[in-house]
Amino acid sequence: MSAETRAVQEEAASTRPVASLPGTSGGPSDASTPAAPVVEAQDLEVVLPSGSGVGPWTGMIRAGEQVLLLGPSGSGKSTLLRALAGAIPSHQRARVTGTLRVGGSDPLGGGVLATSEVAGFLGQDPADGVCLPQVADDVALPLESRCTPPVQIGPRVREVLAAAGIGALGARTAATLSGGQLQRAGLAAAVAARPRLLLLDEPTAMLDADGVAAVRDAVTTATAATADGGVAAVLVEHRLDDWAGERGVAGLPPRTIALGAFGQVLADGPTREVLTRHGAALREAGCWLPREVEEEFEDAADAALEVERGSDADSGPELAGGPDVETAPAWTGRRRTAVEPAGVVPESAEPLLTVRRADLGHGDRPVLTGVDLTVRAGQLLAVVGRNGAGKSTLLGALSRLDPPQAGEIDGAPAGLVFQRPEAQFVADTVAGELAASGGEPAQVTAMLSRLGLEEQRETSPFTLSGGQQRRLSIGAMLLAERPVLLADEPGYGLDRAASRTVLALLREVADAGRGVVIATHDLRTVQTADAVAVIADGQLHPPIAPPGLLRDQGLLRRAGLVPGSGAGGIPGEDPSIGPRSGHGVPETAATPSPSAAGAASAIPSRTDRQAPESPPRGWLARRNPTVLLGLLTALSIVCITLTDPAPLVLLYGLLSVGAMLGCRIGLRRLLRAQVPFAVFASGVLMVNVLSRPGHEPWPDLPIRVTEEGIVLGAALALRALVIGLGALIVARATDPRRTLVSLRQHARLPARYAYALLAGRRLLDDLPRRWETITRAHRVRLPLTGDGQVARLRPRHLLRCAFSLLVDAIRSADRIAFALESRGLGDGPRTLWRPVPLGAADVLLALGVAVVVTSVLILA
Amino acid sequence: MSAVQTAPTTGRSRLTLREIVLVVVLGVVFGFLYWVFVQAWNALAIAMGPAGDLAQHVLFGSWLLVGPIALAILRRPGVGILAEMLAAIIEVVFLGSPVGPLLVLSAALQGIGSELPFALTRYRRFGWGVFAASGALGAGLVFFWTAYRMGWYGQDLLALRLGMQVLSGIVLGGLLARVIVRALERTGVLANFAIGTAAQADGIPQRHVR
Repeated sequence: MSAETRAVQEEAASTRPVASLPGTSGGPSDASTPAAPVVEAQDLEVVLPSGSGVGPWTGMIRAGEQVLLLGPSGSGKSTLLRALAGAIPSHQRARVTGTLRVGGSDPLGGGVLATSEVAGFLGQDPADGVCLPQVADDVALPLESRCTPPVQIGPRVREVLAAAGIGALGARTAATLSGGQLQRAGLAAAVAARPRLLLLDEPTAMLDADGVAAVRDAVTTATAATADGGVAAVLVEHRLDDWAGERGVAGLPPRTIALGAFGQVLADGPTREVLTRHGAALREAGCWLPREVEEEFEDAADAALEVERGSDADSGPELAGGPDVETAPAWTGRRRTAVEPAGVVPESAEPLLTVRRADLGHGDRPVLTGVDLTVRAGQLLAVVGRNGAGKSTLLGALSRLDPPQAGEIDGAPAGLVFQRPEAQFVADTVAGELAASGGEPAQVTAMLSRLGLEEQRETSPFTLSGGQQRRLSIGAMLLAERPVLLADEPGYGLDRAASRTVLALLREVADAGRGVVIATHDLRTVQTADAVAVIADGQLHPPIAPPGLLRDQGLLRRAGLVPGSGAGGIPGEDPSIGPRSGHGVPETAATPSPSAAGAASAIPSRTDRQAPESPPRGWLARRNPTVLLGLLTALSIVCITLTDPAPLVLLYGLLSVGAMLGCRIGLRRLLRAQVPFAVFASGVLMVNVLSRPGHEPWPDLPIRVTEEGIVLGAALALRALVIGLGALIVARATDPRRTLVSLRQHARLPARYAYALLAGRRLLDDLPRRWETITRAHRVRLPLTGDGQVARLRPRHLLRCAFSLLVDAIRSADRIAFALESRGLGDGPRTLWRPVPLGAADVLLALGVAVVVTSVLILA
Repeated sequence: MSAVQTAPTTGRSRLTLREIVLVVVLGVVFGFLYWVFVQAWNALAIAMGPAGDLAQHVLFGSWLLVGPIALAILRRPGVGILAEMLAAIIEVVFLGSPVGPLLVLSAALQGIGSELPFALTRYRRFGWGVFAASGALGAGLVFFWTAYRMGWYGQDLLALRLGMQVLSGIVLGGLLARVIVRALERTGVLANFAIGTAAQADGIPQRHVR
């Protein structure tokens, strides 16, 4: 260890509150410590290839202990969490020194698989929370990995799903769940095998207030439910206030480990004590703190505002006395952010964008009706609403990606900064990204320095940090010279410092005379706006001053800014809306816009079969998929040896009958599904007729047509039709889960491959949505057409989109592999909850097909 | 005190789950993208009129991409063949490919062809020449099986078909793969795979503590 790091460690030790230090030498024999340690670290230090690192950390976490891991971006919170989960260095290159034991296993040497016996993990992106297509299978996976007897798996799956509050969703495909539901399903999978340690890496980053409350409650249930000392948990969370809920700091985990900007351990002790003693340093480093702690700093810094708060509190009826004073946003009237509202923009300011009585949405179903909105120069407008309420629909309309279904929108298309900046990157370098917006070299240089990205000029935009990416995205939009700038969740995933920088930049843009509209579900962002418009119940409410909204608890609830929806469920959890995720435009997931029709029309036709209401039907659908695939293989081999059309015609006829009876497909549907095969087959016939030498029955024709060509061409075309029809039948009679489970059972496909492929299927279901987001994001980057419309993507733009999708998917691959391993997926022995039967009927089918095909070959 | 400095491994014989999942994801994404861009294919086929059947050779190379990309990222024996076969399984099981299960056999032949040049250079050279050879062999080897399956023998166009397919293999299934891998490398998403380890042979620097 270098002298430098030792110094840091000493500093860390000296700042640690001694009384609460959870003993470095303590063990089960220590009388004062009732619970056994789950995590024991000695001088644990992780250094990443970038040179940033975390630690050294010496300490332990005992059974049942709840720990908050606090620190600014780049302090290594996630790195430390991933190290505890065993992902470092097995999944991620790093130099690790010191020792770490998690429940008796060594995460550093044993990797995620070894640690999975003790620890469950939940990450921030709902899209990755569930990694198999069907929710129940995903929850069952860790149980199968632990060789739980199959009869016990079903009850346990139902139990954990119910405990997570989603008992009814086990049979659903993950693609039909909302973000909050996905995160709870991911949590159910993480706790199914009764881990002793739960690792939570910003599990609520993408949820609205109700989603946060639901996930938090599920975590509380999961960590409290066991009798044997309880489940320890380590939580990394930016949204401390949403997590803590009404209990304030008391609602946070009782113990906090605080990391400094460079990964050194600042403090480890009771949460309130750590926040009191080190809050200033943490805040200075850019870390979010609970609101009430921030207030203490504000109070100390600026007592003069006290009077203002008092008058504001009096004016809000909900705040009048009672024990709830603490819980209501008593800070409403206070201006405590660096980015101060500039005051109400006068009605006389130039209107840049006007929406009149517009109905907005995709497809035939309007998401928002009767929208009236004026965006004025110099105005910073916030739009709030639950996940799926229509924020993104509004932004899509204002940016003119989607025409209004009724009414009109006046003004030039607005620029739009997407929630995930990566979806919008079109160039290889940071400078190129700005140049792609039409910036001259001098403008690019000036913008780089304004964004603080001079050093990153030549690096790939994909390698930037979250805050840098967001700034770059905004900068690129600014150079595109659109009068109005829209930003979807600009503070998402950012720490305090980065978030303030981004908001300050947006304020600057407004002050320079443009209009800015921010869609958000973050209360602090709302405070910085000049006005805020609430979307609820399919309506856009007229903009009001932020303090007015913040005083109105009812409206705050309807806007999804504080938890608590009325009776009858959570509107924001409407499953038809699709997951709220970083990739997304949730409203568009269900009903794709015409612009992405290319992407979203055929995959759904495959997912139709997956939806609960239309499972595969018919006798063949109950047969063993391995048998079906084997029969199709055999049939294909027979077909490619045939050069005579007659038996192929017979086979085609028999297969058609088999399809209609065995899969219950109507004739029309069957024929329609074969149109592409027919086009291909007719091409095959044509080429053979024209290009095969031989006897010419009609020598007078201007082109050469041969008998051999006709016969062989017909046979080859029929081959394609027969095999195509066979493939169609098998596709209709099987579903991916049964096929892969059966291949595992009956064709010895290794479990790791079978489940990796199933996870691939889950990703495939998600790709149309991601593709649509990316293509929309790229369209916004294009220069407008001559008549001021948003341009269409040309082939080279589509190739860029394809590359973005590939980068995004490779990032997902990392998370999928981690999730699967943390569910214990390895080569070891495992049980199977719902095996696919192989029975007499399958033998009968195989024999029947063999007899029929042989008869055809003999007869024809 | 123990000290561990590990990069994701390259030497062990068994693939890690991360590597398997990466290969599957590549297969899924390219399967999806082929499907998105299939409109271009159809347009080309129609534009070529009676020779529409020949259009498949022009774009054939794009079917090879997964193999060389997976090889260049993971640098492990067998990965090219595995990538092609998993991609074919995805086509058959998830996308209902009209070619049926025999596609897996074609994919294995493509994979063998694509992998040969990398195997001959012992997975150490990843220059333009190796990628071009990979594309040529990937397209060439499978041609003879497809020709049998599709009845191309005896047609006048056999040589033309072979020529078009190999050329497409070199450009779309070889050189393009290298372009894509280089672009991916720049984004940093491959840093924790073998390709990233090779690029950072000098190890992990001293920790920055300011």
